Amino acid sequence: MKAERRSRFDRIMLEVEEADSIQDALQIFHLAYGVDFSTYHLAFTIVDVVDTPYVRTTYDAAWISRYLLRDYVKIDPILREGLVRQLPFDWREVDVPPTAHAFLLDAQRHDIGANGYSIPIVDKSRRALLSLNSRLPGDDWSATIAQYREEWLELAFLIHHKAIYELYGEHDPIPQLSAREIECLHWRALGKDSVDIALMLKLSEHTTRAYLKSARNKLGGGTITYTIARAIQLRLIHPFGNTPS
Amino acid sequence: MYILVQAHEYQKHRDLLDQSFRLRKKVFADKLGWEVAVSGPRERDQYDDLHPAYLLWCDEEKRRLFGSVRLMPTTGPTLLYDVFRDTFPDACDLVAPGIWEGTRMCIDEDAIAPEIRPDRAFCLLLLALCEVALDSGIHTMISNYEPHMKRVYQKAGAELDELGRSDGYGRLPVCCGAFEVSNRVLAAMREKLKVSDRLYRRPAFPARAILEPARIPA
Repeated sequence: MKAERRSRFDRIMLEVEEADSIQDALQIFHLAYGVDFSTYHLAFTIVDVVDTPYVRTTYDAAWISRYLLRDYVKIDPILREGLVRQLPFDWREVDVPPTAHAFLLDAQRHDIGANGYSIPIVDKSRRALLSLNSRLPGDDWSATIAQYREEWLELAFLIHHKAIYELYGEHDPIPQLSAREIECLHWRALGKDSVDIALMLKLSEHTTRAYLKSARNKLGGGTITYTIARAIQLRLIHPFGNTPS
Repeated sequence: MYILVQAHEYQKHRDLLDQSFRLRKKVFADKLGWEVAVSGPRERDQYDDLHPAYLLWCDEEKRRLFGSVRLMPTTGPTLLYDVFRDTFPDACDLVAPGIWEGTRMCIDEDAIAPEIRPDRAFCLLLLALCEVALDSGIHTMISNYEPHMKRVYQKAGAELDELGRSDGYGRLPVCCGAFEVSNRVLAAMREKLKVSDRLYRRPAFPARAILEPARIPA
């Protein structure tokens, strides 16, 4: 990723990270990427035997109440496939059964875009789905996806981490970082970039970046600055002492 | 041809998937002597119940399977972390959205002979895997392989770091490596393997009863 684009992405991540709610985070996402609507859907939260989905969306009130009233959750083919697929998908890939045609027409009447992209989020015990909706024509939408899918994937997990935090507070146990992740973070905290770290640890630069991404994900999926601050706070690294043990 | 099968299409491709479970038994249990969960003529484990994606390589008629590999996101439960935890606790502990795990990669050597040699077949499947991964925003694949395959993959243009290896799993040690997924690696692999076109072609979008509004030319 080019440096300019990287710093733009870091700014977006920071804004999402600091958003007061998932709703706000979704709005920030819209502004940044020009999508029309988005929905975060956390399925099967394991709090009880009853399935209690957690949903945040930016669709307008009229469409939401229509959706609920008609119980479209049972018909919506995107949601149904989104909760069994693993890889992100373009909505055009989805086979729409005849039973869902009326639903699609209704969506169209409510000014919902014809295109979309959904990102399944799988963690150790939960499943969620971030869906983006767009009024862009097909070709433009394909180009947008190709340009941003890597960033969207990271943001989807960041929003997921935020939602889990909103639901369960700080009850998540302190994450376990591997020795390599700790080493990489330690040197990053001291201002080394992944080229330097790769040389010191005799790894490829790519793998070094993978360890840093993994550490970021384990500590909440935020920016590298946030990750380092959090790691110091949790006493996982002591950059001004001597971290690697 | 190469096809990507996810949980919503298991039924549609059940015959090829069944061939894949049988091939896995032949390769991992019979040939490599791994302690894997065998039931009858098939090898299937708990991770197959978690809706993984499978990349299948088969003939154009989708009748005969040539090879397969199983894909799972590292953010969910993963096999390699569990397998390597005892010997190399840190080896496969990479967990992030763009990092995926590829396991049970195998080739039916009888099916591809004599046209394609096994080493090349592994490289072709790896190339198709890179294409699929890149299409999905995946930047790193974690995968296991036999020691001699590292050089074969590198000669085919792949870039990997060995993260650890485990002895005593089968007759040979098993290595765990991180593979870079990028346009650069893809181009290098195509050149080295002399493959000019994409191996994996995404199926055409299904026809819709409701068409998109027509685009007004500017």
